[in-house]
Amino acid sequence: MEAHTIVLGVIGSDCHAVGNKILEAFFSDRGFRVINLGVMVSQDEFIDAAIETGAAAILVSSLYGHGEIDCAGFRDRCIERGVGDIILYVGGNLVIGKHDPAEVETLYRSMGYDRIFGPDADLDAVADLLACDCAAKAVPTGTSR
Amino acid sequence: MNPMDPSGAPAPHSADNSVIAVDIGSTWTKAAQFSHQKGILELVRRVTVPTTVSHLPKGVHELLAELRRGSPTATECPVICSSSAKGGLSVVAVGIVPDLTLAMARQTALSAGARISRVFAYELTEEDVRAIDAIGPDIVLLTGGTDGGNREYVERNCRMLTRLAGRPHIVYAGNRTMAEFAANHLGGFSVVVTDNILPDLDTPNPEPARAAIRAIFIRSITHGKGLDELRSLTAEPVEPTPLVVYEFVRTLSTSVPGWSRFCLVDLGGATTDVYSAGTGTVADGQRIVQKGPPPPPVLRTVEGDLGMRVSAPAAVEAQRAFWGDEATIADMTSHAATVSRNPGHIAKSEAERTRDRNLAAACVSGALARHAGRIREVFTPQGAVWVLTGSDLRGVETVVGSGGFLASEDPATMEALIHLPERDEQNRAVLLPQNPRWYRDRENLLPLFANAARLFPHAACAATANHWKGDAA
Ligand code: B12
Repeated sequence: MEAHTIVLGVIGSDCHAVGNKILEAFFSDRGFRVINLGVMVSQDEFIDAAIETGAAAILVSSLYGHGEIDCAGFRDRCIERGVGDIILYVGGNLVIGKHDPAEVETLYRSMGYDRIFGPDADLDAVADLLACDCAAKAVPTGTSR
Repeated sequence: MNPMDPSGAPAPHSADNSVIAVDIGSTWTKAAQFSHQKGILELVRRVTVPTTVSHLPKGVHELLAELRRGSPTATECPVICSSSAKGGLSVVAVGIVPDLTLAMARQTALSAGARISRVFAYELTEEDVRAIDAIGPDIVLLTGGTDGGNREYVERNCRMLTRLAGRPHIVYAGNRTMAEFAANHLGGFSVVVTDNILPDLDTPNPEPARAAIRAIFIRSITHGKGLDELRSLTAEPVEPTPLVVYEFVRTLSTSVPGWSRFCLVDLGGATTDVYSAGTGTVADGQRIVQKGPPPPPVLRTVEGDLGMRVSAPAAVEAQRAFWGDEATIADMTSHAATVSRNPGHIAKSEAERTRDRNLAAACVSGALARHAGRIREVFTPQGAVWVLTGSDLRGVETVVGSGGFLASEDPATMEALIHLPERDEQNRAVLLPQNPRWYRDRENLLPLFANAARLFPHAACAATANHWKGDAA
């Protein structure tokens, strides 16, 4: 079976690099083809990379507390750019201070993210969900003759 | 003026220490004989005729006859030739994302010596197909998708290209997974499949596609332009002039001390070409973050709206901000209108010459600014971080001006007129040379030296560096 391609990066002006490296190593180990854009990644850079690499999913990280501003409008932008049905995950320290996780989830869902994770997410469980979501999405594309 | 009279040249001369370099330009065909002395080339004689467009070899034969008249060394020595006549090498580039595969495709074609006739991002439409037919390019460079990446756009664009009425050569250098599909689908064309120019986002791979474009030029396109007839005369195949210059810039930067970082601005009537070498990046991933594919070791850019004659009106329009005041802009606009009517126009009065100098300064400034990368300060909660895109020219020590006008103009005069912008329209800092030395390519020898370098790389590079330094020495 072909590996699913996923795009990783830390959004906005966020420089927290450690978690991003861990995610890269972890998802590669779990058999995904990982395109890691590193820190300080704009929405368009995520989408550009997803288009060229034919990615099934984009995993956005936000650690420094400005996620609410940086992540807004991401799905709309994907729709405009022709990849509206791509899988979008977001995780990290998604808001400043302690908020009700249910509230955070609702907020990010309204922005069009499919799944939302906190800093203590169980990565094994995330990888399983991601594999399922990618498989469900994988409609035969492209090379049919 | 000849630095050396052939009759008074020191003996003995043998065939293997001279070379005749020829460049067929769109208006002039130039040739020079160089002799190889103690590791350096010396100009023996330089001759020029108007390019014989109806039959390109004719002008070359005339020049060779002229050089050989009375010079036995010129009769036996090897001949080497480049051409940019009859539209040069016209390429249409197709990619997906403008900043990724399309940017790579454009850069690759330019580095192969092409003239980019048009570029297309994402999906080709029916109208785009008609536009390509109207252009009638020599080659369509079809790219898109990293290896294992996007297939949809590539598939669609292959299908659309089959609707072309014309039969350009097609070089496929996209997603490896789609290579077979492309080869099968475009069976009605002469297709060359090469490795992907962008196999993954951080790893540009232009060389295989460059080699394919070069091979097509030599094998097929020279024939259409009547250049294959010269093959029996020349030591190496006739190559596109910008490819020869590109390789020359690379060799010069790697082999001559003090030239590891320099820019060459070739200002013509229709375009301004800029080449830069050795512009490494300072990104450290922490305080300075580089975005986009890493810049190549030698970068070539071509500005089709900056030039001294045909493009003069476009240049004045594009560079209004260079002058700022309305009176000068109006004066330059009328100058541009006059000179654009006649590509061979030569300034007749000192006033006209002054306007030409101003126009040249604006073209050089604009072309360098577009060639250079950008850096933007991002204020993060933790302090400033620099985001860098493109080539960093700040370490460039030398800028050389070439082309008819700059070759004839004192570089100190030009330096005083050229002011480089510090910021662009988006307020990003422009990564331009800081305090470079300005040299000129006196006597316009660039394409001739570059051709000679194909046979004597070190001797030609050493000679060029000396020649360019000439004014300053
Ligand atoms: C080290 C650190 C820094 C270093 C970063 C160095 C570097 N280049 O990486 C420096 C000193 C530069 C720094 C700066 C700042 N930091 Co800081 N930093 C930390 C610290 C102590 C550790 C971060 C870390 O590396 N963690 C280890 C990694 C493995 O964990 P992680 O990053 O959380 O990532 C994991 C999970 O979040 C999750 N995950 C992440 N993304 C995603 C995405 C998906 C889809 C999924 C499923 C999971 C997932 O998986 C990752 C791997 O396990 C944290 C506090 C903490 N203990 O977390 C604060 C912290 C993140 N920083 C914080 C802040 C506020 C800042 C600053 C704004 C101000 C400051 N205090 O200096 C600046 C911002 C700079 C900038 N432009 O980004 C706050 C954020 C507050 C918030 N969001 O609510 C924190 C939480 C500290 C705090 N409690 O106040 N920081």
